[in-house]
Amino acid sequence: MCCSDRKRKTLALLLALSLIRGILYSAVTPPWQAPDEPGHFQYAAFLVRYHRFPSRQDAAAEEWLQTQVYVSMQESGFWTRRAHTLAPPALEERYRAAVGHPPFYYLLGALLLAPFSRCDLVAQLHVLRLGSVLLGTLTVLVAYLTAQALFPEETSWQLAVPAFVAFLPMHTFITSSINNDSLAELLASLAVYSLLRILRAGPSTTLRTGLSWRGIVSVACLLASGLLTKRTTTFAIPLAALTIPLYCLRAKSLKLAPTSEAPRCPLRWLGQRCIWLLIVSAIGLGLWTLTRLPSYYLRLLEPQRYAPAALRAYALFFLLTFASFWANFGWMNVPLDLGWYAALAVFSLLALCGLGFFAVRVARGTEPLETWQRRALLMLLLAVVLIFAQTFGLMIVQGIPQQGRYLFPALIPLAVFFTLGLREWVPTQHRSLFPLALVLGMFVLDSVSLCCYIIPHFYG
Amino acid sequence: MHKPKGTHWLLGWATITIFLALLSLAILERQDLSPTSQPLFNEMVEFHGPLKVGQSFVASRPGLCRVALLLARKGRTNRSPVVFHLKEGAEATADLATVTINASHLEDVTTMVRRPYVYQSFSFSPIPDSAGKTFYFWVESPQSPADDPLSVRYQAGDVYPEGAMSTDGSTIDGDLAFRAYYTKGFFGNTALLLERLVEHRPFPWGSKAFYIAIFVVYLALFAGLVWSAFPTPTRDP
Repeated sequence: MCCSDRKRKTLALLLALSLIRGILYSAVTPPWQAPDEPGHFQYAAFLVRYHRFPSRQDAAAEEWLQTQVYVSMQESGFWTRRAHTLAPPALEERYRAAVGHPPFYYLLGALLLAPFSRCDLVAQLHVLRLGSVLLGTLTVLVAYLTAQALFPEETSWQLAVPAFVAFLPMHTFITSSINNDSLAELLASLAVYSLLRILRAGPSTTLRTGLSWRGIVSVACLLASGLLTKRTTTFAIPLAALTIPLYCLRAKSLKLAPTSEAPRCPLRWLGQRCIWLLIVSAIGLGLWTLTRLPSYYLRLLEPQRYAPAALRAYALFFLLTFASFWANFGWMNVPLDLGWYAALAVFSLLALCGLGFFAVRVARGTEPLETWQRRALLMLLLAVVLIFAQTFGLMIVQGIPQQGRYLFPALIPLAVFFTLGLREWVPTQHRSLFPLALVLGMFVLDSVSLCCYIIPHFYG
Repeated sequence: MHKPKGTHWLLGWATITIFLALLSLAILERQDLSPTSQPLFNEMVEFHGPLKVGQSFVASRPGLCRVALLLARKGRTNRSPVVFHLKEGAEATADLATVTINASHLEDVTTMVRRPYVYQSFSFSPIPDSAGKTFYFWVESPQSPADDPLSVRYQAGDVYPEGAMSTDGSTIDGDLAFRAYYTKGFFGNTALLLERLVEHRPFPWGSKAFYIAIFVVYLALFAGLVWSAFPTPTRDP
């Protein structure tokens, strides 16, 4: 990576800030006051104690761990802070080990937890939270690398994307708690970055292609790891599948070039096609494996899901998803005042309109973008469309609101478009100030969230 | 590209750090923490017309200046005045403070698009010698009709033994959810916050210095980022 001193310094500061903000949030949030934290903790702690994955029967029968967690939750005033109620006589079922989740995050968590297994339970909780903070910081790094790969010449804008990710209050809150979302988000972000690199390198006129074995294996591993972490990364499979035509379009245009390698080296050419066959087979297999999904999504076609009452409910659910994407802390019980969300909605609409202007310029060819950049932007747009389809599809099928954090696996594409759209409103001569303005704006939102809502709710 | 002199960089960084520190302290200063509270609730009691709902409590510090309650309305039609009274003990005849607000400011429990469980504050002149004394407050809304009453949240049972809840002067088995605030100033608030942060936490999370250190490092790093990202003609040609 070739960076100027200033860029390197800025990146280092941003990563350090992301880390320290994560530590701050993890320290300020009282124990167990993040979504499903008792369940995630017990899963990892069960692995450490019994060296095997817990079943539903284990989750119900395990008493020692449940008692420890219950006592700790009671001691930290969990029920008072969460629901303003008295503690129940025993740990309720919904706070038991989160056995329904894929195991990868908990395996890593157990490895991290093992050396501290004799420590105080709250110390163990904080160790796992710090593990999540590290994952969140790595996501900020991936955001920077993605922005740098997408627009290598736009040095000032490259700061805006990771800054958005680093300063988004809800993102920091989630990545400073025990939750498989932090790992799922990192893996999905890495998969998107790898796909972008493949599109960027593309099939060139030399022997080096973007689609190397290393690239394929890394994307496949990331997709598999993502699925083994959380189902919210499923959108990355169709994304990878849809990236193939984008890549092939470029391959087709290059095939016509007189210097193309294909006719000169038939074996390598054939090898490349075999690689594609392999990818398509792997993706087909992945889709076939997800046998539950088709019947699940067939429910989307049921007419009663689009009755006026249902549509009104979806509109309300959408507002909840929007709010919890930006800032709705605790167990979704610490929201901001409505005025803040209205302001965020205005900024989001501005970004959307700005993106429209940008798209028009790209379509007219007045925006100086290379072909691979257009395709990379299209791939990122697909990521956004797919994550929305996945999240709101589930909302319609299950008939319940979906939390904004379920959009975080595609947070980097969302950050790219949000910053691109907002930047459109800044006059060209002042665009170098845009990242600074964004950082300051996000800092205000973050400070208000922390000082005026999180601290008063938990400690007021 | 000219590099800025080291002293310039340090000056800029220090200026932004101090500015941010002052700004953060100003925000924190406005966020009072309550040393006396009853945070639980599982029921709502309605009041309208001549009905009054009250609660007694013991002030834990001097300078009692604000009481906050979880009041609510059902729908947006009720815009009647809500009157808060405070007196020293339930038997006292004269009010120490009377505060009136409009019911339109209360949480509307019939809509989903709202911030739930927002405390409604009633501020009054500080009572310097409040520490250890028993106070009694009650709310009423004489102009609220019976078919559009206001509500206040409370917990059934005796969860706050220092005080008791009453409706229309009769004690009932329950306690209103409330928070009492005192004139503590910034240092009082910070000390209380740090005490609550370190409660039931192991080292280093159980150390006040840990939180102060994180806060200072955060502000210093942020100031560094702002200064580093600020484009100047000499630094970003």
